[in-house]
Amino acid sequence: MITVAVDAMGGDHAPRPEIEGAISAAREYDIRVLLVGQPAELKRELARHSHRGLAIEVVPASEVITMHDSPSQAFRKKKDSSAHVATKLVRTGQADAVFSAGNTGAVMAVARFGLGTLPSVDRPALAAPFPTSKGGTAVLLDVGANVDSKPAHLVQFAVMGEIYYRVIFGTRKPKVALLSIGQEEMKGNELTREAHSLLKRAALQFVGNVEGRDIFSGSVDVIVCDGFIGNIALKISEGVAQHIGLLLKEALQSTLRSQVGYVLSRQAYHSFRKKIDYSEYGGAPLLGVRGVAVIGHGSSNALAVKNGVRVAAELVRGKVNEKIEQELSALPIAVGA
Amino acid sequence: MGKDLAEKFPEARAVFAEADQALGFPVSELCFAGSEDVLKLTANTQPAILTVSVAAYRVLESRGVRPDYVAGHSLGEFSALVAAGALDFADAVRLVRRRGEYMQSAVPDGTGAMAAILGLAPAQVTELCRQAAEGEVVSPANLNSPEQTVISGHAGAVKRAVELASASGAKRAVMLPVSAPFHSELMAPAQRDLEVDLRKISFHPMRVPMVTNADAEIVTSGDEARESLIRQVVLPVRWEASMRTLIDHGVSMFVETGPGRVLSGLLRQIDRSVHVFNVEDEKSMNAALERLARAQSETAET
Repeated sequence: MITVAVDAMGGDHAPRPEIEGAISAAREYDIRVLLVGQPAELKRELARHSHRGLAIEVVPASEVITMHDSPSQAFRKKKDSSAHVATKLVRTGQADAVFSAGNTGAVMAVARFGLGTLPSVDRPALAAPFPTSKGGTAVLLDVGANVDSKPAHLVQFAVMGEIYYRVIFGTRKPKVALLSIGQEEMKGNELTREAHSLLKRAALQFVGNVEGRDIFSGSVDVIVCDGFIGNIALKISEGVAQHIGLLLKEALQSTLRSQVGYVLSRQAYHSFRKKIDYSEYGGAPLLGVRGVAVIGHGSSNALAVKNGVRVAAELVRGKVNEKIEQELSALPIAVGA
Repeated sequence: MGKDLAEKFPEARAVFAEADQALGFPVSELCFAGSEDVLKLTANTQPAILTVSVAAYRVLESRGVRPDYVAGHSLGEFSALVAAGALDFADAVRLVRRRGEYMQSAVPDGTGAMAAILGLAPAQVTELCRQAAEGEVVSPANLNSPEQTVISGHAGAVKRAVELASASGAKRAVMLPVSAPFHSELMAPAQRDLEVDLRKISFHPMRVPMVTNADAEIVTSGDEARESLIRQVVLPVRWEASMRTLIDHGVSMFVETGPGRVLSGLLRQIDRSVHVFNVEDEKSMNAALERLARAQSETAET
């Protein structure tokens, strides 16, 4: 049975959604869950739910990293935080994966330095799934594990993203693209131009450059970019989604007629909400670390936690790290002549 | 390769000019703009790689960078000896040109082959080669890292070894697009010819010791270095062992000079605690110089 350590104190509304989500995951997917956090609080919350017969245990951690903590400070000073302890469970082999909806920067630092990178990986990358207009999912990486990346790093991101995509979405040959400012090979900056020429030679189905709007079009599956750009792209997308949601709500409530319309079209509205709801996607894996780490949105609800735990378990089951290592250690080969 | 170095650094430019003159043809043009087909011929590859490696080294040298030890992978052993002061660059570039020709013609086309076996212990690969030989030659040619071994020999035997390796759980076992079975006993004719050439060349005293491919041991005299160059033609490059020898001698910083960063990658598989960087163009050169300067000031402080 796969064991997932859940940072039960990390999210905005912790530990309620963490515990509810963990229970559902344990029940639906036959996963063993270690809930990490302050035992009294966790046990009180656990008592509100039925979880008989499920493989759920509480592991104590005295400290909590808040959303306001500086990531580097929290990483260094709060050594007994739920994020640290949950990560340590993976490092010591007591868990296969860790899920946290906590402070993204801090969790990333804890996972990256607590677990270490895979031998063949230069830099880990945070991979964010996006819903596409075709009803599928596109994965953008890196969305913030690094600020400056070199062309060779982008190639590693592409390889890792492709493997993640295959494991989670079952596509045999995902289409991989490079985020730039135009389809032509020569468009972009030095980084994207060099990365383009490397990606062309990589053992991937590389389809060339795409622009920002293509992230959502569904024409490609894996989109690679520098972490600085990726993080901005992610935050803008979230902002736009929120903004449009608000505008829509306002418009729907503004007149009696539209309110009637809203009631009639509620079904469609909900299905729309579900489609753009991040909680369906279960968080972003930090690829390239030893062990599996999935980072959820701070505002994760129980469904998001459940899906995050599921994705973490699927990455373990799909041997994603073994595949990454296999792919990246394969080349280059030193042939003495 | 190397174009950027030649444009930006006069010390590098001088090395390319010296190579052109020593060989009597513009190897620099081959480096800067040669097509892959032309560069693939080992008699072209060898002087080209040597020239770029030495050009990068000369720039480092001009900035006061002095190694405590040198080592080179296969052909790189010539570059290492130039850096150590044992071989004149002009001699070295002429030698490797002929070395390439000898190796190319040692075995008729199509009889020899090489393959890479990844994810099996080197000892296991050696054993697989024994099983696959069936009276032919197949043996490790480059013992690169705990994860990576290149094998070499008769084409049929190499193919059998690849199949055995896949069946034994190798992460990957692939035939390589190489024209001849380097570092195997099939190279004996090339070894004889190269030995004649090498005995005619005078080797100078070495400024710094070198770790040899053939034995992974440290040598300090020109004569020992010459023997190593002769022996390595038919023996495996014991690269992992060589790197461990250096690390055991206290080396903690490695600079790879020349095209690519394959050796840097291997070092990371061998020992992640050492510092590794490569120098192949202006950008990597500046980064390396900066890091070396920083390391030096840190050592000075402590």
